[in-house]
Amino acid sequence: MSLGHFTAICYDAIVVRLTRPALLLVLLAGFPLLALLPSEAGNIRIAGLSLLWWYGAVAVPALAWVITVLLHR
Amino acid sequence: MTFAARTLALWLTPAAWLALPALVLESGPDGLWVGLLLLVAPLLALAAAGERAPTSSSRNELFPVVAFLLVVALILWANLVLAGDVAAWLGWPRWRGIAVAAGGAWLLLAWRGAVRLVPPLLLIAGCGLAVPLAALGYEADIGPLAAWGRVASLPAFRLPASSPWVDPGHELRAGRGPSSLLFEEEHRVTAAGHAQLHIRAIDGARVTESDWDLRPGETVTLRSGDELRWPAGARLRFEVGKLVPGAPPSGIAWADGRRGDSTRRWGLLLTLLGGAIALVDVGARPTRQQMAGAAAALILVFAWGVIWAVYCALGAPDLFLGGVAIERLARPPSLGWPTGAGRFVPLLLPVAALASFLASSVVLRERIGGLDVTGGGEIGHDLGLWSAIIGATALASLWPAEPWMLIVVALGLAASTLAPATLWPLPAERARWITVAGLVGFGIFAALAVAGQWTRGVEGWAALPLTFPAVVAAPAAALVLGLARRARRG
Repeated sequence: MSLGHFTAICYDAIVVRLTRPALLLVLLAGFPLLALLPSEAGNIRIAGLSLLWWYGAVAVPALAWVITVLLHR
Repeated sequence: MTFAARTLALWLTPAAWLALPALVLESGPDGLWVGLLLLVAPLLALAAAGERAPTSSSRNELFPVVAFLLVVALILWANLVLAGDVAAWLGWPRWRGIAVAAGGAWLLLAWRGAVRLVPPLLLIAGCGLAVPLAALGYEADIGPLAAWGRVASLPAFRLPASSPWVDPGHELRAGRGPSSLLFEEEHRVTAAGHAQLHIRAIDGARVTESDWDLRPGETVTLRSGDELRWPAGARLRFEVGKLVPGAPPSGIAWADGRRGDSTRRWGLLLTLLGGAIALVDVGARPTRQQMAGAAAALILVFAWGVIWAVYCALGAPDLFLGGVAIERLARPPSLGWPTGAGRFVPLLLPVAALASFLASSVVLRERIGGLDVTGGGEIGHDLGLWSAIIGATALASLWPAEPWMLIVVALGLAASTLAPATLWPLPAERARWITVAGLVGFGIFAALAVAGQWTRGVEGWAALPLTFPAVVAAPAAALVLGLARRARRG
Protein backbone atom coordinates (compact mmCIF):
# COMPACT_ATOMS: atom_id res chain seq x y z
CA MET A 1 0.00 0.00 0.00
CA SER A 2 1.49 3.33 -0.99
CA LEU A 3 0.79 6.69 0.57
CA GLY A 4 0.17 8.15 -2.86
CA HIS A 5 -2.62 5.71 -3.54
CA PHE A 6 -4.20 6.44 -0.14
CA THR A 7 -4.02 10.20 -0.73
CA ALA A 8 -5.61 9.91 -4.14
CA ILE A 9 -8.57 7.96 -2.77
CA CYS A 10 -9.18 10.45 0.04
CA TYR A 11 -8.91 13.42 -2.31
CA ASP A 12 -11.22 11.88 -4.85
CA ALA A 13 -13.84 10.72 -2.38
CA ILE A 14 -14.11 13.67 -0.06
CA VAL A 15 -13.00 16.86 -1.74
CA VAL A 16 -13.57 16.65 -5.45
CA ARG A 17 -16.81 14.63 -5.39
CA LEU A 18 -18.63 17.18 -3.31
CA THR A 19 -16.93 20.37 -4.45
CA ARG A 20 -19.11 21.26 -7.42
CA PRO A 21 -22.52 20.53 -5.89
CA ALA A 22 -21.48 22.17 -2.59
CA LEU A 23 -20.15 25.31 -4.29
CA LEU A 24 -23.29 25.62 -6.40
CA LEU A 25 -25.45 25.28 -3.28
CA VAL A 26 -23.39 27.91 -1.43
CA LEU A 27 -23.71 30.20 -4.45
CA LEU A 28 -27.49 29.78 -4.41
CA ALA A 29 -27.81 30.20 -0.66
CA GLY A 30 -25.99 33.52 -0.92
CA PHE A 31 -29.02 35.14 -2.58
CA PRO A 32 -31.60 34.76 0.23
CA LEU A 33 -28.90 35.47 2.79
CA LEU A 34 -27.97 38.70 0.99
CA ALA A 35 -31.65 39.68 1.03
CA LEU A 36 -31.72 39.14 4.80
CA LEU A 37 -28.75 41.41 5.54
CA PRO A 38 -29.52 44.12 8.12
CA SER A 39 -30.17 47.71 7.04
CA GLU A 40 -31.31 46.35 3.65
CA ALA A 41 -27.69 46.26 2.51
CA GLY A 42 -28.69 44.16 -0.50
CA ASN A 43 -30.62 47.13 -1.89
CA ILE A 44 -27.58 49.41 -2.06
CA ARG A 45 -27.16 50.56 -5.67
CA ILE A 46 -23.78 50.01 -7.30
CA ALA A 47 -23.26 51.20 -10.89
CA GLY A 48 -26.99 51.46 -11.48
CA LEU A 49 -27.99 48.03 -10.15
CA SER A 50 -28.71 46.96 -6.58
CA LEU A 51 -26.28 44.59 -4.88
CA LEU A 52 -28.95 41.87 -4.75
CA TRP A 53 -29.60 42.12 -8.49
CA TRP A 54 -25.85 42.23 -9.30
CA TYR A 55 -25.44 39.04 -7.33
CA GLY A 56 -28.55 37.25 -8.64
CA ALA A 57 -28.59 38.37 -12.24
CA VAL A 58 -24.87 38.61 -13.00
CA ALA A 59 -22.57 37.02 -10.41
CA VAL A 60 -24.43 33.74 -9.80
CA PRO A 61 -24.88 32.81 -13.49
CA ALA A 62 -21.24 33.66 -14.28
CA LEU A 63 -19.85 31.82 -11.25
CA ALA A 64 -22.19 28.87 -11.81
CA TRP A 65 -20.77 28.48 -15.32
CA VAL A 66 -17.21 28.72 -14.01
CA ILE A 67 -17.87 26.14 -11.27
CA THR A 68 -19.71 23.79 -13.60
CA VAL A 69 -17.12 23.87 -16.37
CA LEU A 70 -13.75 24.58 -14.76
CA LEU A 71 -14.19 22.19 -11.85
CA HIS A 72 -15.43 19.44 -14.15
CA ARG A 73 -13.23 16.35 -13.93
CA MET B 1 -29.47 15.14 -30.23
CA THR B 2 -26.97 17.33 -28.39
CA PHE B 3 -26.64 17.14 -24.64
CA ALA B 4 -27.50 20.83 -24.16
CA ALA B 5 -30.66 20.51 -26.28
CA ARG B 6 -31.78 17.46 -24.32
CA THR B 7 -31.18 19.16 -20.97
CA LEU B 8 -32.98 22.33 -22.04
CA ALA B 9 -35.98 20.48 -23.45
CA LEU B 10 -36.26 18.23 -20.39
CA TRP B 11 -36.05 21.00 -17.85
CA LEU B 12 -37.35 24.18 -19.44
CA THR B 13 -40.76 23.67 -20.95
CA PRO B 14 -42.58 26.90 -21.96
CA ALA B 15 -44.61 26.91 -18.72
CA ALA B 16 -41.29 27.17 -16.87
CA TRP B 17 -39.31 29.58 -19.06
CA LEU B 18 -42.25 31.93 -19.63
CA ALA B 19 -43.02 31.88 -15.90
CA LEU B 20 -39.52 33.27 -15.27
CA PRO B 21 -40.16 36.79 -16.68
CA ALA B 22 -43.70 36.70 -15.27
CA LEU B 23 -42.40 36.02 -11.77
CA VAL B 24 -39.58 38.59 -12.07
CA LEU B 25 -42.16 41.13 -13.22
CA GLU B 26 -44.55 40.20 -10.45
CA SER B 27 -42.21 40.23 -7.50
CA GLY B 28 -38.73 41.44 -8.48
CA PRO B 29 -36.10 39.65 -6.36
CA ASP B 30 -38.47 36.76 -5.49
CA GLY B 31 -38.89 36.12 -9.20
CA LEU B 32 -35.15 36.43 -9.72
CA TRP B 33 -34.74 33.70 -7.09
CA VAL B 34 -37.01 31.38 -9.10
CA GLY B 35 -34.91 32.17 -12.17
CA LEU B 36 -31.74 31.30 -10.30
CA LEU B 37 -33.25 27.98 -9.23
CA LEU B 38 -34.30 27.22 -12.81
CA LEU B 39 -30.70 27.95 -13.86
CA VAL B 40 -28.67 26.31 -11.09
CA ALA B 41 -30.87 23.31 -10.11
CA PRO B 42 -30.22 21.34 -13.33
CA LEU B 43 -26.50 22.21 -13.16
CA LEU B 44 -26.42 20.90 -9.61
CA ALA B 45 -28.30 17.78 -10.66
CA LEU B 46 -25.86 17.20 -13.53
CA ALA B 47 -22.89 17.81 -11.22
CA ALA B 48 -24.28 15.30 -8.73
CA ALA B 49 -25.07 12.82 -11.53
CA GLY B 50 -21.49 13.08 -12.78
CA GLU B 51 -20.19 11.94 -9.41
CA ARG B 52 -22.40 8.82 -9.23
CA ALA B 53 -21.82 5.47 -10.83
CA PRO B 54 -24.59 4.81 -13.36
CA THR B 55 -27.10 2.29 -12.00
CA SER B 56 -29.99 0.39 -13.39
CA SER B 57 -31.41 -0.90 -10.14
CA SER B 58 -34.83 0.63 -10.74
CA ARG B 59 -35.19 -0.59 -14.30
CA ASN B 60 -37.18 -3.68 -13.31
CA GLU B 61 -39.52 -1.71 -11.06
CA LEU B 62 -42.88 -0.46 -12.25
CA PHE B 63 -43.23 2.33 -9.72
CA PRO B 64 -40.61 4.76 -11.13
CA VAL B 65 -42.24 4.44 -14.56
CA VAL B 66 -45.71 5.18 -13.18
CA ALA B 67 -44.42 8.09 -11.07
CA PHE B 68 -42.57 9.50 -14.06
CA LEU B 69 -45.69 9.20 -16.22
CA LEU B 70 -47.60 11.19 -13.59
CA VAL B 71 -44.90 13.87 -13.49
CA VAL B 72 -44.79 14.14 -17.28
CA ALA B 73 -48.59 14.26 -17.47
CA LEU B 74 -48.59 17.20 -15.04
CA ILE B 75 -45.91 18.98 -17.08
CA LEU B 76 -47.85 18.42 -20.32
CA TRP B 77 -51.01 19.65 -18.59
CA ALA B 78 -49.29 22.85 -17.43
CA ASN B 79 -48.06 23.56 -20.95
CA LEU B 80 -51.38 22.84 -22.62
CA VAL B 81 -53.10 25.15 -20.11
CA LEU B 82 -50.57 27.80 -21.13
CA ALA B 83 -51.26 27.09 -24.83
CA GLY B 84 -54.96 27.72 -24.17
CA ASP B 85 -54.24 30.87 -22.18
CA VAL B 86 -51.94 32.26 -24.89
CA ALA B 87 -54.56 31.50 -27.56
CA ALA B 88 -57.25 33.30 -25.53
CA TRP B 89 -54.88 36.23 -24.98
CA LEU B 90 -54.24 36.48 -28.74
CA GLY B 91 -58.00 36.54 -29.36
CA TRP B 92 -58.45 32.93 -30.46
CA PRO B 93 -60.78 30.39 -28.87
CA ARG B 94 -59.02 28.69 -26.00
CA TRP B 95 -59.49 25.21 -27.45
CA ARG B 96 -57.65 26.16 -30.63
CA GLY B 97 -54.37 26.82 -28.83
CA ILE B 98 -54.69 23.55 -26.94
CA ALA B 99 -55.54 21.66 -30.14
CA VAL B 100 -52.51 23.06 -32.02
CA ALA B 101 -50.08 22.18 -29.20
CA ALA B 102 -51.58 18.79 -28.35
CA GLY B 103 -52.00 17.91 -32.04
CA GLY B 104 -48.35 18.76 -32.75
CA ALA B 105 -47.17 16.63 -29.83
CA TRP B 106 -49.36 13.75 -31.01
CA LEU B 107 -48.02 13.96 -34.59
CA LEU B 108 -44.46 13.78 -33.29
CA LEU B 109 -45.47 10.74 -31.26
CA ALA B 110 -46.38 8.93 -34.42
CA TRP B 111 -42.91 9.54 -35.94
CA ARG B 112 -40.06 7.48 -34.47
CA GLY B 113 -37.34 9.81 -35.76
CA ALA B 114 -38.86 12.84 -34.02
CA VAL B 115 -35.91 13.04 -31.67
CA ARG B 116 -33.82 14.37 -34.56
CA LEU B 117 -36.13 17.39 -34.68
CA VAL B 118 -35.31 18.49 -31.12
CA PRO B 119 -32.20 20.66 -31.87
CA PRO B 120 -33.87 22.42 -34.85
CA LEU B 121 -37.03 23.01 -32.79
CA LEU B 122 -34.98 24.53 -29.98
CA LEU B 123 -33.08 26.63 -32.52
CA ILE B 124 -36.42 28.00 -33.75
CA ALA B 125 -37.43 28.63 -30.13
CA GLY B 126 -34.12 30.42 -29.46
CA CYS B 127 -34.59 32.70 -32.49
CA GLY B 128 -38.19 33.30 -31.39
CA LEU B 129 -36.92 34.56 -28.06
CA ALA B 130 -33.87 36.49 -29.25
CA VAL B 131 -35.40 38.45 -32.15
CA PRO B 132 -38.28 40.08 -30.19
CA LEU B 133 -35.87 40.93 -27.37
CA ALA B 134 -33.40 42.55 -29.78
CA ALA B 135 -36.26 44.41 -31.51
CA LEU B 136 -37.57 45.62 -28.18
CA GLY B 137 -34.15 46.87 -27.08
CA TYR B 138 -33.68 48.60 -30.43
CA GLU B 139 -37.10 50.28 -30.29
CA ALA B 140 -36.66 51.32 -26.66
CA ASP B 141 -33.16 52.60 -27.50
CA ILE B 142 -31.92 51.65 -24.07
CA GLY B 143 -29.70 48.84 -22.76
CA PRO B 144 -30.93 46.28 -20.21
CA LEU B 145 -28.90 47.78 -17.36
CA ALA B 146 -30.19 51.31 -17.99
CA ALA B 147 -33.72 49.93 -18.44
CA TRP B 148 -33.50 48.27 -15.00
CA GLY B 149 -32.28 51.56 -13.51
CA ARG B 150 -35.19 53.42 -15.10
CA VAL B 151 -37.78 50.89 -13.87
CA ALA B 152 -36.23 50.83 -10.40
CA SER B 153 -36.62 54.59 -10.08
CA LEU B 154 -40.21 54.88 -11.39
CA PRO B 155 -42.37 56.73 -8.85
CA ALA B 156 -45.39 54.62 -9.93
CA PHE B 157 -46.62 52.24 -12.64
CA ARG B 158 -49.26 54.06 -14.73
CA LEU B 159 -51.53 52.88 -17.53
CA PRO B 160 -50.03 53.86 -20.92
CA ALA B 161 -52.19 55.28 -23.72
CA SER B 162 -51.24 52.32 -25.94
CA SER B 163 -52.77 49.82 -23.52
CA PRO B 164 -55.69 47.75 -24.88
CA TRP B 165 -57.33 48.22 -21.45
CA VAL B 166 -57.40 51.97 -22.10
CA ASP B 167 -58.68 51.86 -25.65
CA PRO B 168 -60.72 50.01 -26.90
CA GLY B 169 -61.05 47.97 -23.69
CA HIS B 170 -60.05 44.35 -23.22
CA GLU B 171 -61.16 41.20 -21.47
CA LEU B 172 -59.65 41.07 -18.00
CA ARG B 173 -58.57 37.72 -16.57
CA ALA B 174 -57.18 37.60 -13.05
CA GLY B 175 -53.49 36.83 -13.07
CA ARG B 176 -51.45 35.42 -10.24
CA GLY B 177 -52.32 36.81 -6.82
CA PRO B 178 -55.66 38.21 -5.55
CA SER B 179 -58.67 37.98 -7.85
CA SER B 180 -59.81 41.54 -7.13
CA LEU B 181 -58.53 44.98 -8.11
CA LEU B 182 -57.58 47.30 -5.28
CA PHE B 183 -57.61 50.96 -6.33
CA GLU B 184 -55.08 53.40 -4.88
CA GLU B 185 -56.65 56.54 -6.40
CA GLU B 186 -59.95 57.63 -7.93
CA HIS B 187 -60.45 55.70 -11.15
CA ARG B 188 -63.31 55.59 -13.65
CA VAL B 189 -63.93 52.10 -15.04
CA THR B 190 -65.99 51.77 -18.22
CA ALA B 191 -67.69 48.62 -19.47
CA ALA B 192 -66.57 47.76 -23.02
CA GLY B 193 -69.25 45.06 -23.09
CA HIS B 194 -72.01 43.98 -20.75
CA ALA B 195 -70.44 43.59 -17.29
CA GLN B 196 -71.66 42.82 -13.78
CA LEU B 197 -69.24 44.31 -11.26
CA HIS B 198 -69.06 43.93 -7.51
CA ILE B 199 -67.56 46.83 -5.54
CA ARG B 200 -66.44 46.74 -1.92
CA ALA B 201 -66.03 50.30 -0.69
CA ILE B 202 -64.39 51.15 2.62
CA ASP B 203 -65.30 54.50 4.16
CA GLY B 204 -63.60 54.78 7.53
CA ALA B 205 -64.99 51.93 9.61
CA ARG B 206 -67.97 51.41 7.29
CA VAL B 207 -67.80 48.78 4.55
CA THR B 208 -70.32 48.95 1.69
CA GLU B 209 -70.84 46.18 -0.83
CA SER B 210 -72.63 46.98 -4.09
CA ASP B 211 -73.34 45.27 -7.42
CA TRP B 212 -73.34 47.16 -10.70
CA ASP B 213 -74.91 45.88 -13.90
CA LEU B 214 -73.21 47.95 -16.61
CA ARG B 215 -74.14 48.13 -20.27
CA PRO B 216 -71.45 48.95 -22.87
CA GLY B 217 -70.22 52.52 -22.39
CA GLU B 218 -71.52 52.89 -18.83
CA THR B 219 -69.02 53.81 -16.17
CA VAL B 220 -68.51 53.44 -12.45
CA THR B 221 -66.10 55.53 -10.38
CA LEU B 222 -63.98 53.86 -7.74
CA ARG B 223 -62.21 55.72 -4.95
CA SER B 224 -58.93 55.03 -3.21
CA GLY B 225 -59.26 51.85 -1.13
CA ASP B 226 -62.19 50.46 -3.15
CA GLU B 227 -62.01 46.86 -4.31
CA LEU B 228 -63.47 45.66 -7.60
CA ARG B 229 -64.47 42.10 -8.47
CA TRP B 230 -65.53 41.14 -11.95
CA PRO B 231 -66.87 38.00 -13.65
CA ALA B 232 -64.62 36.01 -15.98
CA GLY B 233 -64.68 37.42 -19.48
CA ALA B 234 -65.76 40.96 -18.58
CA ARG B 235 -64.41 43.53 -21.04
CA LEU B 236 -63.39 46.70 -19.22
CA ARG B 237 -61.77 50.03 -20.02
CA PHE B 238 -59.53 51.93 -17.61
CA GLU B 239 -58.28 55.52 -17.50
CA VAL B 240 -54.99 56.44 -19.14
CA GLY B 241 -52.28 57.75 -16.81
CA LYS B 242 -53.86 56.31 -13.66
CA LEU B 243 -52.05 53.93 -11.30
CA VAL B 244 -52.25 50.32 -12.48
CA PRO B 245 -54.37 48.40 -9.93
CA GLY B 246 -52.35 45.37 -8.83
CA ALA B 247 -48.93 46.90 -9.63
CA PRO B 248 -46.23 47.42 -6.98
CA PRO B 249 -46.46 50.88 -5.36
CA SER B 250 -43.32 52.07 -7.20
CA GLY B 251 -40.31 50.93 -9.18
CA ILE B 252 -38.20 51.10 -6.04
CA ALA B 253 -40.62 48.78 -4.21
CA TRP B 254 -40.47 46.37 -7.19
CA ALA B 255 -36.66 46.34 -7.32
CA ASP B 256 -36.22 45.94 -3.56
CA GLY B 257 -38.87 43.24 -3.22
CA ARG B 258 -40.80 42.18 -0.17
CA ARG B 259 -38.93 41.44 3.01
CA GLY B 260 -40.18 38.91 5.49
CA ASP B 261 -41.30 35.39 4.67
CA SER B 262 -38.18 33.68 3.32
CA THR B 263 -39.57 30.17 3.89
CA ARG B 264 -41.02 30.12 0.37
CA ARG B 265 -37.52 30.56 -1.03
CA TRP B 266 -36.17 27.52 0.83
CA GLY B 267 -39.26 25.48 -0.06
CA LEU B 268 -38.84 26.29 -3.74
CA LEU B 269 -35.12 25.49 -3.51
CA LEU B 270 -35.74 21.96 -2.21
CA THR B 271 -38.64 21.34 -4.59
CA LEU B 272 -36.89 22.48 -7.75
CA LEU B 273 -33.61 20.85 -6.78
CA GLY B 274 -35.31 17.51 -6.10
CA GLY B 275 -37.29 17.85 -9.32
CA ALA B 276 -34.12 18.52 -11.31
CA ILE B 277 -32.33 15.52 -9.78
CA ALA B 278 -35.22 13.26 -10.80
CA LEU B 279 -35.83 14.79 -14.21
CA VAL B 280 -32.38 15.66 -15.55
CA ASP B 281 -30.80 12.28 -14.92
CA VAL B 282 -28.29 11.84 -17.72
CA GLY B 283 -27.42 8.20 -17.11
CA ALA B 284 -23.89 8.61 -18.47
CA ARG B 285 -21.24 11.05 -17.18
CA PRO B 286 -21.34 14.28 -19.23
CA THR B 287 -18.10 15.63 -20.69
CA ARG B 288 -16.74 19.09 -19.92
CA GLN B 289 -17.87 20.35 -23.35
CA GLN B 290 -21.36 19.00 -22.80
CA MET B 291 -21.60 20.66 -19.41
CA ALA B 292 -20.28 23.94 -20.86
CA GLY B 293 -22.91 23.86 -23.60
CA ALA B 294 -25.77 23.01 -21.24
CA ALA B 295 -24.73 25.68 -18.71
CA ALA B 296 -24.37 28.32 -21.44
CA ALA B 297 -27.82 27.48 -22.85
CA LEU B 298 -29.44 27.70 -19.41
CA ILE B 299 -27.74 31.02 -18.72
CA LEU B 300 -28.96 32.44 -22.05
CA VAL B 301 -32.57 31.51 -21.22
CA PHE B 302 -32.19 32.96 -17.72
CA ALA B 303 -30.76 36.21 -19.11
CA TRP B 304 -33.57 36.40 -21.67
CA GLY B 305 -36.19 35.99 -18.94
CA VAL B 306 -34.77 38.68 -16.68
CA ILE B 307 -34.20 41.21 -19.49
CA TRP B 308 -37.63 40.52 -21.01
CA ALA B 309 -39.25 41.20 -17.64
CA VAL B 310 -37.35 44.49 -17.23
CA TYR B 311 -38.30 45.75 -20.72
CA CYS B 312 -41.92 44.73 -20.10
CA ALA B 313 -42.01 46.56 -16.75
CA LEU B 314 -40.68 49.66 -18.52
CA GLY B 315 -42.78 49.56 -21.69
CA ALA B 316 -45.90 47.66 -20.70
CA PRO B 317 -46.78 48.37 -17.06
CA ASP B 318 -50.39 47.41 -17.82
CA LEU B 319 -49.15 43.81 -17.56
CA PHE B 320 -49.58 44.26 -13.81
CA LEU B 321 -53.34 44.89 -14.16
CA GLY B 322 -55.12 42.40 -11.91
CA GLY B 323 -51.90 40.50 -11.25
CA VAL B 324 -49.35 39.26 -13.77
CA ALA B 325 -50.69 36.41 -15.93
CA ILE B 326 -48.01 34.31 -17.65
CA GLU B 327 -49.64 34.33 -21.08
CA ARG B 328 -49.46 38.14 -21.27
CA LEU B 329 -45.67 37.83 -21.39
CA ALA B 330 -46.00 35.93 -24.68
CA ARG B 331 -47.25 39.12 -26.29
CA PRO B 332 -46.98 42.17 -24.02
CA PRO B 333 -49.91 44.43 -24.88
CA SER B 334 -48.59 47.97 -25.11
CA LEU B 335 -44.98 47.61 -26.23
CA GLY B 336 -43.77 49.55 -29.23
CA TRP B 337 -42.91 47.11 -32.03
CA PRO B 338 -41.21 47.81 -35.38
CA THR B 339 -43.53 48.51 -38.31
CA GLY B 340 -43.48 46.89 -41.78
CA ALA B 341 -42.07 43.37 -41.71
CA GLY B 342 -41.41 43.97 -38.01
CA ARG B 343 -45.11 43.64 -37.24
CA PHE B 344 -44.63 39.87 -37.30
CA VAL B 345 -42.04 40.09 -34.49
CA PRO B 346 -44.57 39.83 -31.61
CA LEU B 347 -45.85 36.55 -33.07
CA LEU B 348 -42.41 34.98 -32.78
CA LEU B 349 -42.71 34.40 -29.05
CA PRO B 350 -45.85 32.22 -29.25
CA VAL B 351 -44.13 30.32 -32.09
CA ALA B 352 -41.06 29.87 -29.86
CA ALA B 353 -43.26 28.52 -27.08
CA LEU B 354 -44.88 26.03 -29.46
CA ALA B 355 -41.51 24.84 -30.81
CA SER B 356 -40.13 24.50 -27.30
CA PHE B 357 -43.20 22.53 -26.17
CA LEU B 358 -42.93 20.12 -29.11
CA ALA B 359 -39.23 19.53 -28.37
CA SER B 360 -40.00 18.94 -24.69
CA SER B 361 -42.79 16.49 -25.48
CA VAL B 362 -40.36 14.37 -27.50
CA VAL B 363 -37.55 14.48 -24.93
CA LEU B 364 -39.82 13.75 -21.97
CA ARG B 365 -41.08 10.64 -23.79
CA GLU B 366 -37.51 9.59 -24.52
CA ARG B 367 -36.65 10.11 -20.85
CA ILE B 368 -39.40 7.72 -19.79
CA GLY B 369 -38.27 5.34 -22.52
CA GLY B 370 -34.93 5.20 -20.68
CA LEU B 371 -36.73 3.51 -17.77
CA ASP B 372 -38.05 0.76 -20.01
CA VAL B 373 -37.44 -2.77 -18.75
CA THR B 374 -36.38 -3.93 -22.21
CA GLY B 375 -33.92 -1.05 -22.58
CA GLY B 376 -35.34 -0.32 -26.01
CA GLY B 377 -37.34 2.70 -24.91
CA GLU B 378 -40.59 1.20 -26.18
CA ILE B 379 -42.71 2.83 -23.51
CA GLY B 380 -41.70 6.23 -24.89
CA HIS B 381 -43.30 5.31 -28.24
CA ASP B 382 -46.44 3.54 -27.03
CA LEU B 383 -49.04 5.16 -29.28
CA GLY B 384 -52.04 4.11 -27.16
CA LEU B 385 -50.53 5.19 -23.84
CA TRP B 386 -49.30 8.57 -25.06
CA SER B 387 -52.45 9.28 -27.05
CA ALA B 388 -54.40 8.72 -23.82
CA ILE B 389 -52.04 10.99 -21.82
CA ILE B 390 -52.06 13.78 -24.41
CA GLY B 391 -55.83 13.48 -24.85
CA ALA B 392 -56.53 13.53 -21.11
CA THR B 393 -54.22 16.49 -20.42
CA ALA B 394 -55.66 18.39 -23.40
CA LEU B 395 -59.16 17.83 -22.03
CA ALA B 396 -58.13 18.88 -18.52
CA SER B 397 -56.48 22.04 -19.84
CA LEU B 398 -59.78 23.31 -21.23
CA TRP B 399 -60.39 24.47 -17.65
CA PRO B 400 -58.17 27.36 -16.58
CA ALA B 401 -55.39 26.59 -14.10
CA GLU B 402 -52.13 28.21 -13.09
CA PRO B 403 -49.36 26.70 -15.29
CA TRP B 404 -46.48 27.57 -12.97
CA MET B 405 -48.22 25.99 -9.97
CA LEU B 406 -48.71 22.80 -11.99
CA ILE B 407 -44.99 22.79 -12.82
CA VAL B 408 -44.13 23.21 -9.12
CA VAL B 409 -46.49 20.34 -8.22
CA ALA B 410 -44.91 18.15 -10.93
CA LEU B 411 -41.39 18.89 -9.68
CA GLY B 412 -42.48 18.37 -6.07
CA LEU B 413 -43.92 14.98 -6.99
CA ALA B 414 -40.71 14.06 -8.82
CA ALA B 415 -38.64 15.21 -5.82
CA SER B 416 -40.76 13.13 -3.41
CA THR B 417 -41.00 9.91 -5.38
CA LEU B 418 -38.02 9.70 -7.75
CA ALA B 419 -35.18 11.94 -6.53
CA PRO B 420 -34.20 9.92 -3.41
CA ALA B 421 -33.72 6.72 -5.42
CA THR B 422 -31.82 8.66 -8.09
CA LEU B 423 -29.43 10.09 -5.51
CA TRP B 424 -29.03 6.94 -3.43
CA PRO B 425 -29.65 3.96 -5.70
CA LEU B 426 -29.98 0.47 -4.22
CA PRO B 427 -28.56 -2.72 -5.71
CA ALA B 428 -30.88 -4.68 -8.00
CA GLU B 429 -31.70 -7.34 -5.38
CA ARG B 430 -33.22 -4.67 -3.10
CA ALA B 431 -34.91 -2.65 -5.83
CA ARG B 432 -38.37 -3.29 -4.34
CA TRP B 433 -37.42 -0.85 -1.57
CA ILE B 434 -37.32 1.85 -4.22
CA THR B 435 -41.03 1.23 -4.70
CA VAL B 436 -41.66 1.31 -0.95
CA ALA B 437 -39.71 4.59 -0.58
CA GLY B 438 -41.48 6.09 -3.58
CA LEU B 439 -44.89 5.14 -2.21
CA VAL B 440 -44.02 6.67 1.17
CA GLY B 441 -42.91 9.87 -0.60
CA PHE B 442 -46.05 9.88 -2.73
CA GLY B 443 -48.35 9.29 0.25
CA ILE B 444 -46.85 12.08 2.31
CA PHE B 445 -46.75 14.45 -0.67
CA ALA B 446 -50.43 13.81 -1.48
CA ALA B 447 -51.53 14.08 2.18
CA LEU B 448 -49.70 17.37 2.74
CA ALA B 449 -50.87 18.80 -0.60
CA VAL B 450 -54.49 18.04 0.33
CA ALA B 451 -53.99 19.36 3.87
CA GLY B 452 -52.55 22.54 2.37
CA GLN B 453 -55.86 23.18 0.62
CA TRP B 454 -57.74 22.98 3.94
CA THR B 455 -55.38 24.99 6.09
CA ARG B 456 -55.07 28.27 4.25
CA GLY B 457 -53.96 31.16 6.41
CA VAL B 458 -51.11 29.25 8.09
CA GLU B 459 -47.90 31.26 7.64
CA GLY B 460 -44.19 31.04 8.34
CA TRP B 461 -42.26 27.80 8.79
CA ALA B 462 -45.46 25.90 9.73
CA ALA B 463 -46.79 26.58 6.23
CA LEU B 464 -43.64 25.30 4.51
CA PRO B 465 -44.58 21.57 4.32
CA LEU B 466 -48.15 22.50 3.37
CA THR B 467 -47.04 24.79 0.55
CA PHE B 468 -44.09 22.64 -0.57
CA PRO B 469 -44.88 19.07 0.54
CA ALA B 470 -41.66 17.75 -1.01
CA VAL B 471 -39.62 19.25 1.86
CA VAL B 472 -41.06 16.49 4.11
CA ALA B 473 -41.94 13.80 1.57
CA ALA B 474 -38.51 13.60 -0.09
CA PRO B 475 -36.52 13.21 3.19
CA ALA B 476 -39.05 10.59 4.35
CA ALA B 477 -38.53 8.59 1.16
CA ALA B 478 -34.77 8.98 1.55
CA LEU B 479 -35.04 7.71 5.12
CA VAL B 480 -36.79 4.55 3.89
CA LEU B 481 -33.96 3.98 1.40
CA GLY B 482 -31.40 4.57 4.14
CA LEU B 483 -33.10 2.02 6.41
CA ALA B 484 -33.23 -0.49 3.56
CA ARG B 485 -29.51 -0.02 2.96
CA ARG B 486 -28.75 -0.39 6.67
CA ALA B 487 -30.91 -3.53 6.92
CA ARG B 488 -28.88 -5.03 4.09
CA ARG B 489 -25.62 -4.29 5.84
CA GLY B 490 -27.02 -5.74 9.09
